[in-house]
Amino acid sequence: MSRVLDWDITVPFRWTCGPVYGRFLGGLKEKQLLGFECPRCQEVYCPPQDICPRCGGDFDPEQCRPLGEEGDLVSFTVVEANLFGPRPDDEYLRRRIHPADLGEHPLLWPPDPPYAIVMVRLDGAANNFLHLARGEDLSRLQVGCRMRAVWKEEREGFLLDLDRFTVL
Amino acid sequence: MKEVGIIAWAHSEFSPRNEGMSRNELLYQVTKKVLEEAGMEIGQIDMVISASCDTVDGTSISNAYVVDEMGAYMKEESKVEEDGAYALAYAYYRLLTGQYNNCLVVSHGKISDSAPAFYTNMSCDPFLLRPLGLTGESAAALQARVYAHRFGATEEDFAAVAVKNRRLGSINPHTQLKSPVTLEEVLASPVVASPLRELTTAPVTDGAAAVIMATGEYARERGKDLVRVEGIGFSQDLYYPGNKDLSTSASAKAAAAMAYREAQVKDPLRELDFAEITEQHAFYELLLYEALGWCGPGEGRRLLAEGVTDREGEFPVNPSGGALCANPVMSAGLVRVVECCRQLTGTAEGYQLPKPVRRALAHACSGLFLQSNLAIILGI
Ligand SMILES: [Zn+2]
Repeated sequence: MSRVLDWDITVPFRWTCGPVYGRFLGGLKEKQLLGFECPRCQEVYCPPQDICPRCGGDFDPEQCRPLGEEGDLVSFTVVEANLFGPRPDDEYLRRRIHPADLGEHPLLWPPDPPYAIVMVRLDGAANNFLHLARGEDLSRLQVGCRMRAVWKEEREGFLLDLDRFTVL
Repeated sequence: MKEVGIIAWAHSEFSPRNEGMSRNELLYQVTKKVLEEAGMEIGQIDMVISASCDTVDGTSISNAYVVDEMGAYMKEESKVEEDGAYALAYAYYRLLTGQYNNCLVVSHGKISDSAPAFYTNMSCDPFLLRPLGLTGESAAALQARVYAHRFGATEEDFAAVAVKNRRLGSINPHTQLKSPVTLEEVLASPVVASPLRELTTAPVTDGAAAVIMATGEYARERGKDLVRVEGIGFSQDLYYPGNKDLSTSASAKAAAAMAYREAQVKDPLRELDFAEITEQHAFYELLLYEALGWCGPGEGRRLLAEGVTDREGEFPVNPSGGALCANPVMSAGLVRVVECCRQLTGTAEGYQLPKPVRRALAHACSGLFLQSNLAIILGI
């Protein structure tokens, strides 16, 4: 007979953002989508990387400026299957925060389907930004349509400070 | 250059959930089987290269716990946290040094003990992708949409790949899904993440695979036939999907170019007889026809529609049914190698290709958005 032990793995963890991601995520708190200019090839990236994905230039976290809140939809998928199961209660999710760093932190869990993951080329950016869309926008998404950022009321320097993109 | 190849191969049974066996037992079973196939004992093996994944196994340094079962006790063993086909590549380069006679290559994954969505979401960075709930399915769906939009490919084109591969898999006694499906059934299957449906996505598969590699001298001394490795290429693309062209796979192109260069293949469609590729999503197959250099950009669906890549075609692709019929995590690519070996040695009983075959390409991939690709040219 075969027995099974059910025992999930919860590893408290904290992620050091570093200067470039830190600046980018800090910008979201201020309702800014910051584009970072590569000092070598002058392309503007939103979101940035630590180094330029094309030429290897070293991004300066201060060399950035807010882009507009609009862009073109490059791709999307409407996620219909719930592959993660129901969201656990907050107590469970809080246990995953690093014990040395307890305090107010986003309780991370994937969004409930149906929702969309969208790829948006923000005006002035050289790359595409992956984020979310929801609600009645799901049936209006079309490659090439114009999208605009929608912000959360309360923001904490996290990717989901930007609530979603909506179809214009 | 030194001759290096494969002298024996095996894989476990494939099932969506192997109730009876732990990962250690899966691995032990396949290790025993491949040694039997080679007529060797574990004491004759010089080194072991394994492939497994910490998040699939639920332990860090996932090879440590299964060293006994893979026969690596008191041997040189290294692990690759990639598909088993990448472990084969490491073994190949080590054998080329002349320091070793042979190598056991093993891979295992009991994905049903883990949870596939969590496993692929865990491979995403925590700043930009993981909070979106991105998984293998939604990543592939975003790429499928870019491919479809650029080339005008449709859901029917993707479904046609699933129909071909499920039909081919239906005569392969070793695979998991042995029933053919119709175009209507594929298009009526539930949407997982648009435009991908259940039947255009590979199944969940528990499994393990193994090959024994050896130098030409060692194989000849022991009277073993060798399926020669004639060339290997691999390449990594950028990580963040917003930074690259998703209508193709630059790393698959680079991997194929490197393998073709080593094997001196100039016109793959003419000089190779067939291929086994890791099409974990139906549209991967069309995209890979193009990236691996078998047709121009956007022409993948034409190659499929003309029957070129079917069983009776000039260049069959996935005569085993491919990953759409069985997708053992960490072994899907190594199983492509095993399937090439079967065809090349005329031992694909029940699904042997009708034409004579001497040279093939096996493809493996790893990561979301086809980030990493590996191509191996095999010949007899
Ligand atoms: Zn640059």
